[in-house]
Parts: sequence; C-alpha cells; structure tokens
Amino acid sequence: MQHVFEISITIVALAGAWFLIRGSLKDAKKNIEVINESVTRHTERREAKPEVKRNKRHLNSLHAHQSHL
Amino acid sequence: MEKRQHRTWEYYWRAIKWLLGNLVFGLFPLLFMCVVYWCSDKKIGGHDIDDQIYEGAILFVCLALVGSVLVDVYLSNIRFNGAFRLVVYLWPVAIVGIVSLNYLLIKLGIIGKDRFSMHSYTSWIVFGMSVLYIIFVKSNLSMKEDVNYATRV
Repeated sequence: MQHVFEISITIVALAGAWFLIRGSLKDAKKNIEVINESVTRHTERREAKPEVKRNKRHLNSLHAHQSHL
Repeated sequence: MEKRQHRTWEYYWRAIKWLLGNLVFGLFPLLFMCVVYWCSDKKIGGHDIDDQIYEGAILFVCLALVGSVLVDVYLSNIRFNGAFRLVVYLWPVAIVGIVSLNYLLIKLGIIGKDRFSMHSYTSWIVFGMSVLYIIFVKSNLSMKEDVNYATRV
C-alpha cells in the first residue's frame, strides 16, 4: 500500500512539476519583454523631457520679446 | 539617467526570499525549540521537536504557504494562460489531497506514523511540490503585477 501511494504521488509530482516549470518560464519570458519595453519607453520619454522644457522656455522668451516690441 | 532592465532571476530570487521569510515565521516554534535544544547541550526540547515534526508541523506550514499564494493569485484578478493556469489551480488541490490521504492512511493504521516525519518520502515530495509551486507561481505573480503597472504608466 505504501509503495502504491508513493509511486502515484511521484507520478503526480513529476507531471505537475513539468507543466509548472515549463508554463512559468514561458510566461516569464513574455512578461519580462513587456516590462523591459516599458522601461525603455519610460527612459526615452524622460530623456526627451529636458529638451522640450528648454524649447518651451525659449519660445516663452521669444513671445515676451515680441510683445515688448 | 538610464533605468535598469529587469531580469527573470530577480523575480525568482524575490519569491525565494518571500518563501524563506514566511518559513521562518511559520516554523518559529520549531526553530525556537531547536535553539533551546542546541543551547541546553541536547538536554531540553528534543522530545518537543520530535512531537511537532510527527504532528506534521512542517507539512501544515507548507500547506499554509501554498494556500496563501493561491489566495494571492485569486484576489489579484491576474489570470495566467494555457496549461499553466490549470496547474496554478490544480497543484494546491493535489498537495492538499496528498497530505489528507497521508493523514487518513496514518489514522487508519494502514501506513506508519513516521510518514509525517522528515525521514519519509511523502514529506519530501510534499515539501518539494510546495517549494516549486511557491517559487514559480509567486515570481510569475510579481511579474504580472509589474506588467500591469508598466502598461498603465
């Protein structure tokens, strides 16, 4: 009885472990790609920001100068 | 400043740390008795340690941790795809089934009481199944949460 019990739980454990590890690794690969794409997008946006601010400031000063004239 | 890229092993490492932290808290009475046993030159606590192990403390802590991951998955509204989704929900049922059957067979006197001790094959199988489930599902859950956050930002 003990051996039957042990053999059956070993089969269940091995089959389940195969599906669990395979599914997890597959899912992880996709998720990491999405996360890293978002990180890259975020970094690009952050880097672009100071330039936009500088251009805006320059535009404001031009407007001020124009209105003064 | 360039933001760091994420790696898969970081999530697995986070899940391992979660597991270790919870194991320390869950098995605190046992660990405490082990410290007492060690400090008293093996004079006090040996019997209590054996009692706790033979009552199935380690297996029941494993069950509690697996249950906590399952409830986390359920409450997070995050759904996995394909066969992995099936395994995420069926694996804890299999663990509960094995522990219950083991308990029942011990109580009916069909298998020896040592089946709950850490010398037994069944205990190691349940322990291994729980560790695998916690590491792989908890890490994927953290990843999915980060994906949700990343797609929202």
